[in-house]
Amino acid sequence: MSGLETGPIRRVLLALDAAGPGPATLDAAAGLAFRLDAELAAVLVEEADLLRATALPSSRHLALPGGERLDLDAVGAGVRASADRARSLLEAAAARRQVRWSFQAMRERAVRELLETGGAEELLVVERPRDRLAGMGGLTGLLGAATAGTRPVLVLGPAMRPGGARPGGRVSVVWDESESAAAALDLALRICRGVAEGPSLLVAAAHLAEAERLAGAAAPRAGRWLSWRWAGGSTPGDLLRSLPLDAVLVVGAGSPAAGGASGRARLLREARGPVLLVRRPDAPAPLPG
Amino acid sequence: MPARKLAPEELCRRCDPAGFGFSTTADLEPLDPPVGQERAAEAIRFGISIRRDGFNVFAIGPPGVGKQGLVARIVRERAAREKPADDWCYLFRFADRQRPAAVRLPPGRAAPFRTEMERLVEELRAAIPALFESEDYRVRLQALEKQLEERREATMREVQERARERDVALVRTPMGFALAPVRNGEVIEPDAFHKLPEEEQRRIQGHLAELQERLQSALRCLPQLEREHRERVREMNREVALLAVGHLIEEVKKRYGDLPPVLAHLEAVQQDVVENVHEFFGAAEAEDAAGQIRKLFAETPAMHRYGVNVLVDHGGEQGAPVVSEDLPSHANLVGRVEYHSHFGTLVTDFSMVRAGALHRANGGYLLLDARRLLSQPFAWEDLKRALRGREVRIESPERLLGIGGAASLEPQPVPLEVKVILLGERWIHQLLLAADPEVRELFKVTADFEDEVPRAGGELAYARMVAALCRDEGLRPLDRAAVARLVEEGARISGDGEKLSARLQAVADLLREADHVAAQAARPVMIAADIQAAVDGEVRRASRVQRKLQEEIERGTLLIDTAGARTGQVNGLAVYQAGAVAFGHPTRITARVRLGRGEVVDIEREVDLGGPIHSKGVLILAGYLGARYAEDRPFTLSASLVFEQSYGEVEGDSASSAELFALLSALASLPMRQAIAVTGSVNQLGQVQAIGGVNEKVEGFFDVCRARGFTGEQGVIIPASNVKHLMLRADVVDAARAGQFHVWAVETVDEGMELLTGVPAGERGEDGRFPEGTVNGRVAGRLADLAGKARAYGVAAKDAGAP
Repeated sequence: MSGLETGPIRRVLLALDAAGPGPATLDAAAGLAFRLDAELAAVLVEEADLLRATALPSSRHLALPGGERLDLDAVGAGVRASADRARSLLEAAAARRQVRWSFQAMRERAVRELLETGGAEELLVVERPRDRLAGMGGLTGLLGAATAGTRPVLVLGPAMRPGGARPGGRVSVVWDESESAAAALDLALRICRGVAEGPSLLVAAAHLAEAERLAGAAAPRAGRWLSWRWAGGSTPGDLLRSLPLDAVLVVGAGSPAAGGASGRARLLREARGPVLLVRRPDAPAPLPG
Repeated sequence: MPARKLAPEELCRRCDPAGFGFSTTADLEPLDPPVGQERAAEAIRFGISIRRDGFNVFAIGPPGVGKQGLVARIVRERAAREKPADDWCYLFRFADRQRPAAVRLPPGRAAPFRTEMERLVEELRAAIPALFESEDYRVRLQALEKQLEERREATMREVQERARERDVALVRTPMGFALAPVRNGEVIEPDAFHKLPEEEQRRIQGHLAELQERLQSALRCLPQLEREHRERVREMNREVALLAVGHLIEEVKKRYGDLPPVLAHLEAVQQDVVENVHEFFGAAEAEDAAGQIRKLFAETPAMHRYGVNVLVDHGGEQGAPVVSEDLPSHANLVGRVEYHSHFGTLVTDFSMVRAGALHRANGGYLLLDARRLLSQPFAWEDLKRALRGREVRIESPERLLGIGGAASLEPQPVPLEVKVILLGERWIHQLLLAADPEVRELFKVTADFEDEVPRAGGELAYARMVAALCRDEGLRPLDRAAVARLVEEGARISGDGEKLSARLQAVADLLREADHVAAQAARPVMIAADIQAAVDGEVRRASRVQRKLQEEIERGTLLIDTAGARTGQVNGLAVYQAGAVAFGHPTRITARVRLGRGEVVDIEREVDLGGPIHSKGVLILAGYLGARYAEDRPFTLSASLVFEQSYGEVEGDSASSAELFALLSALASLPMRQAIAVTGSVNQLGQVQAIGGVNEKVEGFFDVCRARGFTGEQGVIIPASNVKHLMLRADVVDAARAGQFHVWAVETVDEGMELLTGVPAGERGEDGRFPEGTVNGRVAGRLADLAGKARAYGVAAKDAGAP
């Protein structure tokens, strides 16, 4: 391996919003912590507006689905119950995988600072907002900060049927021979260590012959020949089209195939499965997309 | 008429080999059916040929007469000429999973159908995921999602914009949404809100109320949008799935176009695949405990419920099925629903329905042993229910008992068309007839097997039957002398010199053993000595008890006199059964008489060692004595009878003549010859009647006498009506021929008494009295004397004021 390989991941940082984590998210985060021998640290984001709204008697609260009116006490209790539930779910997931864990609630501003300043020894796991309606708060606002940091970020998408991706499924590494792609491959190999089915390459190349050459070039870095699939091109659109439905996409944040900020945003938005953005340890953080 | 001493020729009816016109049994045409069973065979043929309800067959007869073999042969012969039965399978019933559907298929088509469905599922597993991973599907799905997103955004956009205009924030909460006033881009603090002028607060409240109305109405639209989206996705999935399923199922349909139930099932499968296409993405399901539990609680998995449970497969068979069920338990008869344990829970489905014997025999014949059937809980009722209802319904024992509320399967009953042949002993048939009126309705044909056949004219047929046995068993043929010896043994087994045993089992066992003897002697053909060796071997192996008794008699432990004369004492003869071998031995019977009230006390009965038939025999003696000797005076005798040194149960009346002889001897005070043993029952008229086991009894006393040394006086008295039953051993016949041992036949008690006492019995004269000095005269005199004493005793007692 080259000297550019990513360092050890000490902590898997799971960002949660008031809506609480889905079981697949928790399972994925705990699974990653287990595979990387890292601590599972969950941070519940306390949204300032939400806290104020639940303390303001004149605010109006409506339930989903249906829009029934809720009184303030019920909403306050709901917020607290959501935090308790998130904590107990986390505890159960960590116990299943037998990983160390911690849980803390933090104000939005503090979380944003944490995300922006965290190091490459942390892997951030964040759930993609379930729908665009949640764009009014929660993790949506933090997603940009998360992806702008230097740490690897696993963005989990909603598992949809049929063919919805599940964490723990196949791992596809976007491979274009760039250093960023190499960092992504390193991390993918580490995640897949001890797993029968290792990562496969999703080779971004304009031509098949070039894809074959690139796939061959990955073997020395991986230490073995990896299965590969030609993306049919080298743009984010090509990657999305050829990505297996149930695969976890591992992509170097600075990889040309990721297509820059807009390309990364598209990958995060349209990939049906989880996306793991990996940055080179020595690379400057890209500008928020 | 005096007792008749039998000539040696009368002691055993020999079979003359010269009468056979063959060299060995290999020259003979094997006999079918076995000798004497023509009537039973005809009944079986009738029963299995008539196609009417209730004409099932009950084949009855003693064990070992070849019921099973003959029934099986006749049934198989007929079944071979009939067409094979249909196959049956159970299929998942999509409309009601608790009631699997029973489907009939032509013979040999169920197994290929199962293979076809397995292949179909395999192809679906490959084809469906491939379609759903295709670019086309992905694009269509994304388009639908985009459409949903846009509709939701459009629904909410108006609320969001209006909220922004009125400085109100729309905040996502764990339970839904909140509307709160905003200052400087943030939700206002509660304190700051209260510091606002009241008018301003009212204005904000107005905005909040208005926005709340709008948000509520927008939110109410969202579930409908979601529903519509899900329905569109579902419809698209159905459409895509149908692409994969349709042509694959069409191919199967083409091959089963002649079978409407199969076509209907394939339609249902297609519908189910389309509705549950997501199950075909389960291959990558995590195999951890949670995944297993998900699978457990999932409805019957697709890969499973499209399968075919072949219940009965008659593929490759020629003719109708013939099934013989050795263990006709409830489950083995009507089938069962099996379960398997999954994470501590018992689960089942249509694939775990198992066939019973009735399913396998459906369209053919089922052979059942009646005794085994009746010994199994529920089995008899199961069989009757199936025959009555003409269907096989699988019910759990719990359900039959009305207990156990656990949900289980109720497989659709299978229509039944079967001939049942029950095999059993006569007493079972009689018992069932008496206890269960349905037996007559359901088993209208009785095939009654003979246990013996007439010997006259039947010896050659017997030889042919032996030839058939040798052929079927692969045994050496018998030469003529061996056949003759076997015929004699057949008569001996039947206990009748004029009959031959139809118990094929015993004859076959004898032949097998004789064949073994011949093999050891390297003889290609069995000879008479081989048969004799087999007979002797069987007796020898079972002779431990016999020899023990014999030894104790010789040592004087068991008191048996074979010489001299004793009053009130006679040698009776008893038969013991030791396994397959019976043997006789003498037992001392004694009688004592005194003044009494006219009763004969059977000591065996008093101590509950006498069976009812024995007791009946003793009571007859009192009747005989009273009527013959005390017709016109009080019968004031009290007599006691006992089997000396007998410590077990005594049953049968074959010793009643011996008991009467002992009584008469005691009454007449006449000693009887102990060299003679006696057997025979007696009636109230003094006639000696036939008994069973005459050969064993004679031989039993013969063995004792031989051990002590023949005196030329020894022998046995038997009823005259038993002479035809004599098939005595060669050594007994030889001794008789040498004048060492004798067999006498008597018809009356008087004949026996004369032989035993050497005193004339005496006939009643015209004066109604028996001659003085005769046996009967002495008996009558003694009884008159007792009556006189009783009268004198009664007068004296009355004078003394006795009540």
